[in-house]
Amino acid sequence: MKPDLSRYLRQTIFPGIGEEGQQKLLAARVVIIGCGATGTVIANHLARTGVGRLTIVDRDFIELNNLQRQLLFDEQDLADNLPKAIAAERKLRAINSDIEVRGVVSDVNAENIEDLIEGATLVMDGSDNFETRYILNDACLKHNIPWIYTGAVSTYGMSQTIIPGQTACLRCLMRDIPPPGTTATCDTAGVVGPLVGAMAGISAAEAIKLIVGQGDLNRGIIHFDVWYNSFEQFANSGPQPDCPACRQRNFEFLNQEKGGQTVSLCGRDAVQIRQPGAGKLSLAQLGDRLSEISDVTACNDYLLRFTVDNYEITLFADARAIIKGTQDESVARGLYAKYVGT
Amino acid sequence: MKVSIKLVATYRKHLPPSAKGNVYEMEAPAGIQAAELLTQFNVPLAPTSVVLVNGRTPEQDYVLQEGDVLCAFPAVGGG
Repeated sequence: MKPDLSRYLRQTIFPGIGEEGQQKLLAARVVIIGCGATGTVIANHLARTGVGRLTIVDRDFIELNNLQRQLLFDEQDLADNLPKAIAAERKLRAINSDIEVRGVVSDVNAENIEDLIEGATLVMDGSDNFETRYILNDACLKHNIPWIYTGAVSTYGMSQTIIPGQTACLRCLMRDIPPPGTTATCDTAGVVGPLVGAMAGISAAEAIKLIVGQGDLNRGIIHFDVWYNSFEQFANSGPQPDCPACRQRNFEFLNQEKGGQTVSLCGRDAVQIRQPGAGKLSLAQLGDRLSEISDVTACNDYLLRFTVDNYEITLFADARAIIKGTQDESVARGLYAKYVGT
Repeated sequence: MKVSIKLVATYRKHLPPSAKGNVYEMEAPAGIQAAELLTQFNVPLAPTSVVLVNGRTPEQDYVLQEGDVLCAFPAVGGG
């Protein structure tokens, strides 16, 4: 059945989009990496605006403190112990059944990023950590796919539209990942909900402009602080001559010459551990075993959650774990080894 | 040599009271590097911060020039 395009009337009336722009949106494939605060807002906008194919990738599950700012989720999702990618997929399908939406429960890393973004018109950053963004930057440059950075913490945020070969890339701007503990996180500095909407809204508008090929793109950096109404726009500096990524095409994060397998998570007293190549776990079987030595609080096709020694461990079917109650990566690795095994 | 230093987000607190908003115009000694001036204001350097001169990423040892606008803000990791 032909989709009813009248749902997009209020944007096709706008000459910058029009019916031609709408057709471009419907033909586009956008991959959203991370579906937390910024990712949910971006996904919401792009589904409603009629991006034809949306893929949402997220490694995480929903927690009560997400509901303050992660606009696609509600209390029922929390009660159902749903991974964010699955809850988002269901919501977005309910919002717009004319588009194709796919939720992928997975960590995004150097090993799977190229498969995830294959064939994408555009990639949107909805992640909450630098390492994922550096991998994303490498992969998008390698495959000549534009991507849009969105960061938000406390009351300030940043949006950067990165077009390979035309604009500065992430490593032109920030050559290396800030050392652990040197930047504010949602955990240490908090985050004001409307900031997320503002920054993700700016980035979603960039996505629409980029897809329809109209309007003025942000070819530099937009920085906004909602607490002080400080809006800064920095011009495009173009690719830096000595940039290892976009000029020298030395993709150190994608090639795993930089970055790690264990990361502290923004906004959480938690560490994620992943086990590349571990295969698919039998969560039900593992849950039975762990129920004898721990308090198993959730077990479904997607995740197994148990509490032991005041730590909450959520194990996903791909052997990845989020260990809550510590920011110490060595403690987290020890718990993983002790209760899950390596 | 007149330069402007613009400190955004949490770095505003490092500006003197006479700053206008988030911008402070000042006399800087000739030959001073961007990184040296930021250090004088107790602003963390890259990679913890995003540092721009006239909107562009400067070389690590960039020497400030008359009229330059030096801007810094914390790298924004959350999302």
